[in-house]
Amino acid sequence: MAAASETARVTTVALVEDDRDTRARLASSIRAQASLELVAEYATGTEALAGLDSRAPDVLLVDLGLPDVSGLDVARFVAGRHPDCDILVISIFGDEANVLAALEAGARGYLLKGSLQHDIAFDIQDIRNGGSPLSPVIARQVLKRLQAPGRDSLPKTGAEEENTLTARECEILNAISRGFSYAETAQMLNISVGTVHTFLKRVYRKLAVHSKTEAVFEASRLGLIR
Amino acid sequence: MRIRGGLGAAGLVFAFAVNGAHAQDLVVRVLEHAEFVSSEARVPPPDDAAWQPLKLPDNWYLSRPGDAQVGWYRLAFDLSPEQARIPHSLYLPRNSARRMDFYFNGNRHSGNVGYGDPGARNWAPPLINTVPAASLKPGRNLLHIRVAAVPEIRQGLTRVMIAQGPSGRPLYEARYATQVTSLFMFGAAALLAGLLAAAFWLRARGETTLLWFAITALAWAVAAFPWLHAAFTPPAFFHGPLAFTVRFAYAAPMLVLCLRVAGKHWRWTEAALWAFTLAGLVLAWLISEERQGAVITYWTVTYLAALFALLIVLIRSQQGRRRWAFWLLAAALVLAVLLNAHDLAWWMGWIDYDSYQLAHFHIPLVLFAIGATIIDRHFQAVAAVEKAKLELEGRVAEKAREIEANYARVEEAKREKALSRERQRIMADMHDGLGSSLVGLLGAVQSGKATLPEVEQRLHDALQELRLAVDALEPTDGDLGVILGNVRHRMRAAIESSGVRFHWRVGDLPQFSSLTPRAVLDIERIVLEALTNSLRHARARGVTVSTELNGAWLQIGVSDDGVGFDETKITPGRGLENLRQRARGLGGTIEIRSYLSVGTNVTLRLPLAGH
Repeated sequence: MAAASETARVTTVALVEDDRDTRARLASSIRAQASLELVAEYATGTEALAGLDSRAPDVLLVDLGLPDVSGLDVARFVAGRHPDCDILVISIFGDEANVLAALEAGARGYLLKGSLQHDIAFDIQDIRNGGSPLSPVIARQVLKRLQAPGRDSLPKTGAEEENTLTARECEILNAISRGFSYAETAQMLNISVGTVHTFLKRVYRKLAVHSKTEAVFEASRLGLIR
Repeated sequence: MRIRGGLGAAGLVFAFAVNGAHAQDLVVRVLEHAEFVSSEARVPPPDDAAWQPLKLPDNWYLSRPGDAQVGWYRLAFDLSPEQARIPHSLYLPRNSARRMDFYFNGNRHSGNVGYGDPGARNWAPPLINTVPAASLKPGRNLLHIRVAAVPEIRQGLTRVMIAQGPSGRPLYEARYATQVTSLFMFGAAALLAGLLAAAFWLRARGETTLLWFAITALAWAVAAFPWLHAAFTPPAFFHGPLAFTVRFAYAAPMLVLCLRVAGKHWRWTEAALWAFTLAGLVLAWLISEERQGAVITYWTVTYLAALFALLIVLIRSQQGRRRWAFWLLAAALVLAVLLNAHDLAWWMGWIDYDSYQLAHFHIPLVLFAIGATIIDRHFQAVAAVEKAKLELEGRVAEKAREIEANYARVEEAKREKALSRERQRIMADMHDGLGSSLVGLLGAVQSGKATLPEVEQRLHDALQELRLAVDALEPTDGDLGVILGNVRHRMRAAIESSGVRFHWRVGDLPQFSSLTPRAVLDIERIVLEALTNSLRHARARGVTVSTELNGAWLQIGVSDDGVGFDETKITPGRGLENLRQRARGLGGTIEIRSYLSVGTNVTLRLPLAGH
């Protein structure tokens, strides 16, 4: 309770996980943290979509492998509805493909299934600060994706300006991809850690926008949109 | 042996004559009854000369064979007083003697002019002379014609026509067009066709039929032109040989051409044709005009026979692959045989002396048919080439596809093999690493020796191991910075909870583009192992991970300031041996230096060039 009084406010957390044991374990992990308050648990995507329609917690944990609705759809839905809600997807491996898809769906990070209990607090704290730490592999993929070769040489449209990386963002992602922590990155670039978080938030947004324009581009290429 | 009628103009002329109901109304009088006396006199022989009645036409080859002779004809016709007041014309279907002089009522009126033209002699142009009214009188008029002719070359006198006013003109012109103008036209066409064929042949030397076509057409055109051209009047000596040349020079090339077109390349036949033509030419130049008849007969018969033989050869050839051009050529050859037979019949005196000369029409016909055949074959060849090209292209494309597919299969197989090799290695690794640690853990749990935190720790390690294996399969493109960064990322919780000062000195590193997932996993494991040792056992305050490029080597160092261990006292465990083995597998080395109370330094050296 001492920890709770130290933070300005308790972070509310909702959980979407179909596996009962995992859900129970995550729930107990969250409950064990004084700074966190578990406000809702959903066993299916449909329940989650219904429950999260009007209001959302500060942090939402979503399992990617739900039986009915894709966890990515839930993330996308909540991200669209409640931009302030930080979404963490639950992944077993935190592998590049799943995490990138989650980031593009509007998630801010991921939580590894089977993390040690205290890791969950770390992860949730990180996400409140601006997103869970990007793994170097993913930082590199984001760099590659938002800095597609050939795009640079073309004059950028407004939309492209919006979803390609600035030089500073590239520097930050480059440092992270080489394993530097946010603090080290901030120190190397002579900026504050907060600024790094701000930049990364922007990168996440670009990634989501990028994935949408990519979809639009793809659709128009296929003749779906004229 | 004389066949009346034939293809001559006589029929037409008779029609004119028969149409008139009365003599006075006749527009064109055809004089068929005449009297003849053999005399070289310069003026018409008197009435008491030995005049013999005869019927025109009078072919001297039949009626008075032998050497060149001179004789007189006497013809009578009646004119009404009205008719005698209009000018008439004297029309002969063929200008058929070396020299003719016309006397109307005893006065020399005119003669045949322009007969020095051998081409004209051969194709026998008609003759027309205007008779002014002053030369005529009402009642009976007498026409004397002095004829100097060579019987051997079928000279003599045709029927004589006296036409009122301009009415003889159309007859003359129709005959002139058929016998002379057509020659000009065919000659011009042959010249053009010959030049075109020659031009084409120059571009395609292999097409010998084109060459023969050009030679035939040009031979005919060149031979025919000078003799038709009024301005060209060779000395009389040349008339005979030149006439022969005109008539037969084209024959050999044309026969050769036809044979070639029929697909026959008979050297001896061709040689014989050339020899025969040459012999004929030599003879024509050696033998005087008076003696040429036999040569011409011989030649005409031979040519006709050759044409006929050619027709047979053609019909027997190309069985099964006959196209329209074949039938066109066959038809042209049939016509050629008929036309030449007609002229031979005239030459032999078997048909009416006034008949047209038609043989020359066969040349444009045959040339046209051969031209059509050549063009047809050309387009056939083009189509065949096109088809072959398409087929070839198709086959090449197919082969290319096959090769591509094969290549893709080989590549796929290679990839599959590499993948499966990687998979096997990783599987073997997991079996040795993850598998054995899980089995060990299971044993520990079953024996009840393991404490819960220990189990948790070991399970956590196993999961970590599994995640690293998964990470190793991520696309890192050999970016060692990312690979090292990933180890740190995976160990973040462990590092942060250990409370050590952590130093990350990873600089810009070259890309190891050929790093396999297995190599990535090995590097990650070595670094993970070293880091885990430092964090768990060294009781260090600070841990440093650094990279350094050193000549041909990349050094990755993990050092701590922990308790260290005495290398000599520690039996090389499985863990250390594992590290060494992995480093060797990477083509590198690993160096572990530890000093009690000072710390441990693990350095992995990887060859830069090796990757």
